[in-house]
Order: sequence, then C-alpha cells, then structure tokens
Amino acid sequence: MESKTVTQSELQGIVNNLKARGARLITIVGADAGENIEVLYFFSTGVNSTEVYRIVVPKKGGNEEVESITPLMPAAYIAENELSEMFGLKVKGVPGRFFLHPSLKAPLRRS
Amino acid sequence: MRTVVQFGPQHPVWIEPLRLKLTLDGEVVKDAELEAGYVHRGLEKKFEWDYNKAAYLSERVCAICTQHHSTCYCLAVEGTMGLEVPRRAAIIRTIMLELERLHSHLLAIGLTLEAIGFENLFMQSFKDRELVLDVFERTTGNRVLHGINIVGGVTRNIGPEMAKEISSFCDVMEKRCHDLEKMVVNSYTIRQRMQGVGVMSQKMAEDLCVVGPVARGSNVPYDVRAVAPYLLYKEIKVTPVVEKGGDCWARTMVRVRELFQSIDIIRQCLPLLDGAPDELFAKSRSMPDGENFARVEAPRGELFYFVRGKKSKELDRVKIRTSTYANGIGIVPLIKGAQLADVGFITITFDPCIECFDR
Repeated sequence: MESKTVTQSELQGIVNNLKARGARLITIVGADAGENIEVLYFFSTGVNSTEVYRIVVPKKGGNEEVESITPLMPAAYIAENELSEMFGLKVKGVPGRFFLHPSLKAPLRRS
Repeated sequence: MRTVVQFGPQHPVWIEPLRLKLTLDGEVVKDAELEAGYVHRGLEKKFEWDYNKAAYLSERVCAICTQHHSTCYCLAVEGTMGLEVPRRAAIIRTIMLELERLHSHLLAIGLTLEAIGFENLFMQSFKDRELVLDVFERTTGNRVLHGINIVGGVTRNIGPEMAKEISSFCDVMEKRCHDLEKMVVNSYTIRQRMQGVGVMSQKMAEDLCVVGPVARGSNVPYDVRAVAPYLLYKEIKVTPVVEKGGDCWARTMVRVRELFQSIDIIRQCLPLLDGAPDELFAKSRSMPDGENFARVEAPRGELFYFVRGKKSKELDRVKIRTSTYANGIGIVPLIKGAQLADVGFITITFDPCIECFDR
C-alpha cells in the first residue's frame, strides 16, 4: 500500500484540491505506532485509483491536537469523532464522543 | 410549541438499538440528534489476534453480510502476504457474495414494505429469502454464518451437481423476484407513499460520500464492483444500477433491480467452475507484514478493511469501515424537515445495520 506522509497544514490544502477533483473520502484510520499515533486518510479518486495520506502525531500524554477536515469534507465527521475517542486525540471542532461511555478513555491507545 | 421526542433506542421499526432525539414543531421534525454505541463490542481491538481465526471473527461483525466481511478481511490480509487466491476459490467467493446480496436485498425490501404497513409483502419477500438461505445451507452447511472463507481461499467446494442446483435455483428465484417486482412497481399505494419522501439530492450524496443503494438512488454511480474490481468482477463487468429520484422509492427500486443483476452474475459465474482446477486454497509461506486495505461492495455499499501486520501471527491493527457507517451521516439531514410518521420509514430505506455501525 502506497501512502504519502504529509504535515497537518499540507493536508488541508490537499483535501481542498481533492475535493475540487471530485474525490470521495473513504475513511480515516488511526493506528498506534509506539511513540507516535499515525492517522491515515483514504480517498477514492476514480476508477481503480485511491490516494492515502498519512500524518504522524507525536504522543504528548493526551494533549495531541489534530486539525479537522470536517469543514472541508462533511463526510469526515463520524470518522474524526471515532478517531478522537478511540485514541484520545483532540480533533479541533468535533465533540470527540460518539460510541463510548464517558468513563472509557482511549481504548485503542497503547501506553 | 416545540416538543422533544426520544425515538429509540428500542423502536419497532429497527431491530437493533439506535437513538434519535427529535425536536418537533407539531408533526414536523425541526432538529435531530443521533446517538449510537449501544451495541459497541470493541471488535477492532479483538482483531489483534491470530490472523487465521480473525476470518471467523470478521463474520460476526454483521449477521447479514457475513460473507462480504470475511472476504474483504481475507483480501486485505492476502495483500499483506502477497498471496494469490486460486481461480476456483475466487469463483466460489463471487457466487457466495452475490447470493448474499440477494438475501440481504430481499430482507431490506421486506422491512421497507413492512414499515409502511404491507405485512403480507414483507412475509412474501421473507419467504423468497428462505430459498437463498436454503442454498447457503446446502453449499456451506450454515444458513447465516457460513464460515467457508479462510486466508488464502475457501474451505468448501461447489461441485457440478451443486452448480446445477444453484442454476435451477436462479430460475425459480428470477420468477419470484419478477412477481415481487410487479407487486411493488404496480402498486399505486406503495408508489404514492414512497415518492418524494426523504429526498437526498445528488449533490448531498456526493458531499456526504454515502455509498451503496443510498448513493445509487441519488444518481451517484458508485459501485466498488465497477470502480475497483476484485475477484471475478475483473472479468464480469458490472454496470452500476442508478435511479434519479433520490427518495425512498428510488432507493428501494435500486435494490429491486439489483436482485436481477445478482442472479445474472451468478449465472455467468457457474459455467466458469467447469474449467477451473479443483484447488481451493493457496498456502502462505510468510506472515502478514506491512499495511494493506481492501474494498468490496457489500449489499449496503462499500465495505473497507485496513490491516497492518507485524510479521507474526497477531495483527497490529485492523480497521473496519462498514457501509452503514458511511451512510449514517446521511440520516440526520434527511429527517430534518420530515414528518414524524416518516422518520422510521426514511431510516429503514437506508437499510440500517446497527451492529455494523457500532462494531
């Protein structure tokens, strides 16, 4: 699987560009990679073509912040909420609570 | 005066728990809030497990599209190991996927008709669905959780006699589906009740990235079988079934028309079994390593699995994006402005599967 590692500010421009090209957001995947949390954005850009962008968020004891792409692509809303509650990341502008009871904190984050 | 009504978590229109908090002005819904998570089982964490056993686990994500879940999971894991599935296994998987689409669409059509009070048509479509379940029982030994997919192929063969049986099943099923189609299409009452209710415009469907019959009902020709072909769909061309209306009628008609498309695909697959060697699975010489994702077109829309291996039996991370999850975002905008009596009906035309949604 090919993916391109980008910074958070670059991602905003990329998403804007993808939207103009009529790309669809498939989903947002979070993965704990030890020292960092990786966030992968999957887009479908046409027949047999997908683009995957990766941002790397260094762990800072639960104070990590990620820029939201929901204002650009409304389809990201549920996925960003889930990312936030499963990994304890703060995604700006989304409530970060969707599936879990408030007593559960970041179940997919490895300490 | 505004009233707040709790719609769910237990509501007769859905079998599973989902809660909608509706703010009403008279009979009209002014605002809605969706709450899910009542059947969240933390399955993604459980997938950090033996990759061979996880194929069975993936079937338990959803009881309706079990074969789609396990096929998508297997395709993703096979990608991390560079494993090529034997041709016969690919054909059997494709036949199973289309049989599953048949029974899932019959269930969705039945429940939609029941939501508007046609209990006899609901029973009729469930009676037809039984035939598909019987075929599953004959071919896999199980009616619902088939358990024939493993990483590398399948565990059960379809021999010449069974192929003949499936072929005659297709003839019976086609006739029954035509009967059902006639009853739905020619009914003035059903048409009047469904047309113009819960309209999702093409722009809204594109913006919200909805999938499956919900997108195709709004004139968005997005079908993974055509957009990113997998298994036998690389040979059998699938043209997405689209309707222009975007309302409950359009979504239901997409499902009705896809019944015939599935029967057609099964018919095209069956003769291919004759020439295929009897090899059912490929043995892997390596462990899952690196990242991969797979997409399949489940009955409710695009299903996505992301797998990350770590060169051991256990997987590092599995993410499931189900089709209901992608469609969930479209529910709230559609019921805003609708009548209270239409809320359950609009949501049921999304074919909601809450166990998929929550995982």
